[in-house]
Amino acid sequence: MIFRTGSKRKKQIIRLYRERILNKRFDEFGRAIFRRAQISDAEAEEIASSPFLYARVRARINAEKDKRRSALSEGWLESLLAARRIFTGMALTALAAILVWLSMTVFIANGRLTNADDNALAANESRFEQIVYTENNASDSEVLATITEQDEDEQR
Amino acid sequence: LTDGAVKKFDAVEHDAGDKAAHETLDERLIASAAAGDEKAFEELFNRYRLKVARAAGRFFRERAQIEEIVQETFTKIYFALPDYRGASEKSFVSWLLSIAFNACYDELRRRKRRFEIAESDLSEDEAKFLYATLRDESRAADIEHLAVSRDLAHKLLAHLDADDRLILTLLNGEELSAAEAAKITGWSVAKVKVRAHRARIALRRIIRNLSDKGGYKS
Repeated sequence: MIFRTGSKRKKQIIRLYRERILNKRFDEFGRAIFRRAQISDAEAEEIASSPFLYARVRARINAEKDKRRSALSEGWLESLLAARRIFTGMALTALAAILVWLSMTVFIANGRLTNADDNALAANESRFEQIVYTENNASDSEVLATITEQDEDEQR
Repeated sequence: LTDGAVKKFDAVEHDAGDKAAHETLDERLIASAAAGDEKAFEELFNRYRLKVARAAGRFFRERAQIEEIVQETFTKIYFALPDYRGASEKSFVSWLLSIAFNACYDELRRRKRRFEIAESDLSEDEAKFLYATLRDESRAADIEHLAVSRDLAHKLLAHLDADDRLILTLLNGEELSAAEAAKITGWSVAKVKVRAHRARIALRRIIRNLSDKGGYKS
């Protein structure tokens, strides 16, 4: 602003002043347009007191109530269906789990029987050897020699 | 709440011109209507339907549309009454008007989407007519002039955004302060001021075009 010449500054001030006046006039005009666009009090009164307006409001409220009620009941129905699906799934899973548990029990039971047989046989074998050695009155060194001999035979 | 009680309260209000009595009756009606009293709700409707119709009439000129806004507003009020926290937070009138103005705002936005392509500028003749009618208020007395100029004014205002239209209606039409407009719109005061400034600039641009077409050289 300092570097501008006097006439330029004067022109700018005039332009701003003119713009401000124009804006003021446009704003007044804008208010007039808004006033013109709105309905009069008499028209508003006529519309507000039109017959059956309240009846229509009531009908709308009732329709909205029905809509909300049906939405609510639909919601319940959906929840019930979802719950049914969940329960079915859970029941099937539980059944599968029980079946697995039962089959595992049977399998383990079978497994234990086999081990028991082996143990019994092993026990019987050692007892048989014990009996042989005891009946022959073999000394410890003889027993050791016999076992070593047996091992060597097996290795061969 | 019986009819007798309502009439008695009305009489008190009328005789004494007592605002407090009016508010007390409102509070009782609101409480009863919120509890499911249909009569109390009807009484609230009768007391405030004109206010809502006037509010809608600032945005729309079609009777059916204004009736639609009245219905929508009171339906919303019916379901929102239990949530109304009383005059301590917001007066019932301002709460009711905020619902009505929001219904108008929603409809403006719907229209803007629907008629975006159909919207057109005013023709030169229309601009001249509107400009002349607005400059000479005496011509507004003529019903035909009034109806045509109103249609043209609506056509012109249709160029504004829904936000601009709402804020200028509240500030210019209802002559509310920025704080009051903020309460109704739910915007901050700063946003109301900024929006109003932008809306005025948009409206000036529209009027400048109109005045150029109407023969007035800016």
